[in-house]
Amino acid sequence: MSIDPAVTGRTYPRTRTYEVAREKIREFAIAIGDDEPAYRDVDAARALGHQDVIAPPTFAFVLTLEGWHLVMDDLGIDFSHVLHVDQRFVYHRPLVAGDVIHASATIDSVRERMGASLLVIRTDVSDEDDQPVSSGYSTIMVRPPAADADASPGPERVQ
Amino acid sequence: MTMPTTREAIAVGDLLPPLRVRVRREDLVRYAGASGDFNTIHWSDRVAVEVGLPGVIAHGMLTMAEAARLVTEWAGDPTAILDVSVRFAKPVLVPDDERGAFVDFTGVVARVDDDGTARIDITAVCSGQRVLAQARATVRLS
Repeated sequence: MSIDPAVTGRTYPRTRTYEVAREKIREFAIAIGDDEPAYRDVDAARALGHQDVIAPPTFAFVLTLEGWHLVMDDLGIDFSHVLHVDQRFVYHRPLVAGDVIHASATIDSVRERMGASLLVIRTDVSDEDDQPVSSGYSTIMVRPPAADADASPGPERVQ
Repeated sequence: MTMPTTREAIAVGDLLPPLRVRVRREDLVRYAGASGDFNTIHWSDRVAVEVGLPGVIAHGMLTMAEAARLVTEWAGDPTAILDVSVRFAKPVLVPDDERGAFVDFTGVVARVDDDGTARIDITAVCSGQRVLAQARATVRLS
């Protein structure tokens, strides 16, 4: 499918709020195999100058999928045809337990490449004072649905 | 052991201590729960194969988290990363066995800037293939 480049710049309503919490940060740190004390010990985090335990850098992805869903529902993209091909984060500050954050998705760019659409969705994460925490840039490839081996070509088949 | 990362101590070409990560199916279950990404291709061989994959693959974001960990452990500072980006070049296939898949991360200091930052170029290899491309992080040096 091709996506109308006129959607570039379209910004979606902010996501729900998400409360960054110690136990979830700890669980995430364990899941990525990082034993950094500041991710699980308040005193260690405070020794580094933070209010509470801090989250590992990619924890900032937490609301990203919700933003993608807003984009995909709007553009009629089937999630099963989507491949996450690139991800970037720019950080203003780390996430800290106690932060109440929300995210806003914006279509940063659209381009067509070899029969697929490449969409860059920017996810801006802000805290409850609307101060920026991080911006994520996700490059999503939207592929046409794979042809069913048993199906004969028909007008509904997307090339 | 962490390497010193004051701007006087590091130079272009410096290698980061390498990181080897093992990823088993249970690690994907744990990461799915911790991250909230329950995409079926990360836990069901049936669905992974249906969408054209050889089998269950690791979350790209898990691989990215490990790439970031390579850098923060070297920096000795979990907040050192100002900017990090990766391209997911190849999936990390995770067999349903006790051995799992191994991903080897290496990094090199590619640039040191006057503003007290440095750029690290990261590679991640699994079964002889680069699973990340153009993976890099900008770090703030102490």
